[in-house]
Amino acid sequence: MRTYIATFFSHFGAIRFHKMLMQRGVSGKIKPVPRDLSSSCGTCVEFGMDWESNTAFPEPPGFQDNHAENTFLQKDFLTGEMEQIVEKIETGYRKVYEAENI
Amino acid sequence: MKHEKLVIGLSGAIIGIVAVCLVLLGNPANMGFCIACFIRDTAGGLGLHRAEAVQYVRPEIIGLVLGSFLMALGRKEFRPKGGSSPITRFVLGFFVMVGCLMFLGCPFRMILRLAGGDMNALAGLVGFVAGILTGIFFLNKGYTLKRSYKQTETEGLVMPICQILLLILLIAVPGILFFTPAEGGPGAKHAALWISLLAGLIVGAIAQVTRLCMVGGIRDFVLFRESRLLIGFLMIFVTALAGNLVMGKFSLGMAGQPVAHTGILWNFLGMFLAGYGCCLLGGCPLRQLILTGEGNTDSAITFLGLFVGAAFCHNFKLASSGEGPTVNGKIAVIIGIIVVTVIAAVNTFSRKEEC
Repeated sequence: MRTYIATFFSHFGAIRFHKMLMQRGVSGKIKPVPRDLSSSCGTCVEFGMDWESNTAFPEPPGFQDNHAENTFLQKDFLTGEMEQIVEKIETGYRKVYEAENI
Repeated sequence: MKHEKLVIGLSGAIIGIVAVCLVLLGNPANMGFCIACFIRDTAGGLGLHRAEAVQYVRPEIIGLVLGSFLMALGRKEFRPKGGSSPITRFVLGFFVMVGCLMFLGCPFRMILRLAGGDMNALAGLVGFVAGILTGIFFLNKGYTLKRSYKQTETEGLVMPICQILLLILLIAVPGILFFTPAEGGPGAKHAALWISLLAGLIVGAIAQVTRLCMVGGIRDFVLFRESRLLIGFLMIFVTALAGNLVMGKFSLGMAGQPVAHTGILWNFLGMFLAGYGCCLLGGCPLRQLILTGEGNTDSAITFLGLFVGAAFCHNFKLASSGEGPTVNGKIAVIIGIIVVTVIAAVNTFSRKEEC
């Protein structure tokens, strides 16, 4: 199971994303954005997911190469309120998605 | 997590000590730092208002922005961005200042007033928390000022450069600025320029690293039971209290407190407006200055809103004094609460998407 952190342009964006995760059986936690991730002080959602086996998310994200063509991920997952998604790794964070022009 | 709390706690302690030292070195009592008062003094120093008692280009404000700017550069966190409802933010900043000058202090000074024994600030604190809770209500209902976008380096540099120019004016050509005459009011009380500047630089740098924010502290505690930011301000209170007690600057009571009035209702409502507006802005006045240093042009616009608000407050007699609040000030606070509520509602309920 990998751990991801999604940050948002608004607090409500985080609430809505968290609710969407819960509806699909994915556990997540709303919390302040970690300082080592950003100097801004918004709200983020930390969630654990095994992309390959989670049926609620039929394809791996493929964020960086825009692989997720017209899938659930593009339609609903990447809301206009989402700023970025990073994966927590041993050495820090690995960016897997970033909105344009941030 | 524990490490971060320790860093924030120590940072708060340093800021509390710096604030007490500034008072010992000349700043007005319980006003080692006050972002609202210092922006107001700076507006007066530039002649934007003509209240002679509060005219001095405060080096602390310059230092806060530049301290944050330099720290952000060093940490590679200077990332200019903006475009999130800038004019709305200007208006919110304007009315946050109206609220602060009704109370006679920003959230930072509210803590320093409490640490000095000024019990009038308790009414302010209750109002401040109530204002933040009201703002949180709208945050949870969908309030947003929309996203920000990457800006050019130049755009992010404008405000820090303006602060450098202001410093040059203050040092090289003070004759063109306005100064409160000696013994003429709070504006005449200040530490030496270089000390004030250094204090601002230190606190600005610390606040950039720790994201210290009074509004954020209470907001995060209410929303997530997260106490990190709150610990910073608790430590400011504890160290400033200890410093005041040691230095004989602690005076418990309501009447006769320095640069304060005893109107409980209006202290409450002033800080209610400030907390409400700041919650919708995403940060207290100190945080807006720090974000300005990081290149956030939305915060820079908010800074200008605070600045123009301060000028209006003194040009139209909206600001309180030791004598108490003015009729104009009371009307302005009520208008402010209405305007902020309209902004909150429009940016919450006009959204088509529902949770």
